[in-house]
Amino acid sequence: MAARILMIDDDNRLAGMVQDYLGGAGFRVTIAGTAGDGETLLKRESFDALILDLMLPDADGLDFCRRLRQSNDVPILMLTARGEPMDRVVGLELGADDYLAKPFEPRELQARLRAILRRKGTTTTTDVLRFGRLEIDKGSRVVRIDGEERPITSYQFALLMALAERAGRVLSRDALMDLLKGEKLEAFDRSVDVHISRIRAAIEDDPKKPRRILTLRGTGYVFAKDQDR
Amino acid sequence: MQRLYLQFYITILVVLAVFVGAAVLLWRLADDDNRTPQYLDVAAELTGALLPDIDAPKQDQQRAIEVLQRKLRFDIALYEPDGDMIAMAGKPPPRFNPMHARTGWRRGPGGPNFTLQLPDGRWLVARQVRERPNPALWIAAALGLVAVAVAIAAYPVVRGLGRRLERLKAGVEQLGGGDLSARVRVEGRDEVAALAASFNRSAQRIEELVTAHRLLLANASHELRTPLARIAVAASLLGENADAKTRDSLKQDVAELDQLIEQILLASRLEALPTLERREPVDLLALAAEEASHYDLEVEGEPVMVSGDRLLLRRLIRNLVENAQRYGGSGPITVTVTREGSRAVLDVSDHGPGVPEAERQRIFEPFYRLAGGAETGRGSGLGLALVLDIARRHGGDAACLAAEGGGSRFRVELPATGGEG
Repeated sequence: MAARILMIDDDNRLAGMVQDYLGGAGFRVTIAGTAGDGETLLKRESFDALILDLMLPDADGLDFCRRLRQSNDVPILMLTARGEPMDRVVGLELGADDYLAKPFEPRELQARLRAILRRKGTTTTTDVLRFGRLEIDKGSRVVRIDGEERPITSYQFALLMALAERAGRVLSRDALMDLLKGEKLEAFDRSVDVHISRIRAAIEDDPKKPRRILTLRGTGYVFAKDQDR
Repeated sequence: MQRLYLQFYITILVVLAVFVGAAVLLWRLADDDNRTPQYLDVAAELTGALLPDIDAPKQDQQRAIEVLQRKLRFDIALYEPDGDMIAMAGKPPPRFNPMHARTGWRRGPGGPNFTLQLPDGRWLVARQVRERPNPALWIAAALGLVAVAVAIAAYPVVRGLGRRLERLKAGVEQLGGGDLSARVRVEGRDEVAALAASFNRSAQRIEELVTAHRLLLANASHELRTPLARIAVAASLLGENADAKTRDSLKQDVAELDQLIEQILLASRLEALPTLERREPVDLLALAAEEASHYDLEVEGEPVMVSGDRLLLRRLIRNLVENAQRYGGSGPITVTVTREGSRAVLDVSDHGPGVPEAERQRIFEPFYRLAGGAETGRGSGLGLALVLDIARRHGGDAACLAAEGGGSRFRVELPATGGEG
């Protein structure tokens, strides 16, 4: 059955385009132009997810989000304007499940929608590290891009975790080896560099132009902290 | 700085000193007036009438003098015209010399003397019993006391005025420093209070205007992003059958416009903020590598930690790299992060035409464009201005230098924190 999405945005034309696009991808999108209309619809029908614009003509998206959370646990994806970092943090603190900055790629909207729909019901979201389109699920030791699982070995997963948990810091090869001391090695030992290139093949859009795991010649590796630009 | 209250106070003290000095001087001049006033002649006649005749027995004269002494509480002595003493009462008078005697008040060793020549030629010398010190000293002391009292009373008033003006100054400086919520306490109902009130009104007005301005910018940027979001979605919806080149160029334009809006919004937000909103430890090398990767550039150097706003530092690096890509010609761009003593140094070098020495400072001004430079029509004109602003906000600086082998080298120095790596 198609997932039912409610989109609350005062931009009718944008909402219309999103409706068409997501409709083609198998979602059933209902549009509300104001927070009031949205609330009425939410009371009358049930939705699987909510796309909520931060700036609404009759309400502040953050207030609406906070109020809604008190009575409803429908997954919420906030649409915000880029460049206001506070909004992002606050939006998530108030109970939004994810956010996306306008202007956005419809492909990314769809990926994030699928991600929050899949997460629905699983309560242990704290075990998931999220970097833009990349999800690292500590609990089930699975890596996903746009909600799609990518195959890596257990050792590579540990290596990726070591990097991701220290995102934004340069780690030397020695430091990485130290962090992975306790991990059981694979049948045949390979250098960190080889494992890194395997992980890249799995999670980078273009392994030749890595955006997530970067090499610093002569120094080591760094896992990019801000991947959602 | 010359303190206003001290100026006031010193003026008051000087005026008091001049006043006391003038009073003493005047008093002395008046004292030296040698004329015998009319009333002394009358006093002489009256005294002569009260006393027995010059020929009366000495006992009578002595009795009369004693009576006078009891009534007046003066030491009194009566002399013959030639200076021989006839009678006296009270303490013995100083030696009397009729050659120098003159009717009137005189200062003497035992206090002021009153000398009176009676109509019959006898001399009466009366000396006030010393109960008070010399009246000259007395008056000077009294004047001095008044001066001290005025000086003490004036101090808190003048100091208070000074303090209020200093508080006003602090308020003005706080406002000038960018804190638009700065207000001062309005005390009293005088001109200073009126000035404080009018400062508060002005500050209120400025705050309202700036808030309105920022709101306008924020709203405008939101309004601009709304159609931009539509264009971005529409470009994706063109689908596979659309010309890939057109679609990519459309997407790039959307991204560029989005960046432009963000830069303007950031510049206006920074203008209103005197300090950093947040600080966290940032690995500058890692951050540079992250940013450079979006331009397919590699970064070299050593890990250096700085304390700062990650988002702003990201913006700083991005602007430098973008600037190098835009104006740096076709040669390779190098990005390095090093540690020099207590400074973290970020270098972005290109192989473009470089910047003439005379313009190396000016290119950091908002909307400044190189003279004779090709009008590329790209960039917000705020990129380098933001770089400098962000560097200074972190206690560092940015400069444009000449790169070895031509081109420009943009160098940003930031205070490094503690441990390496």
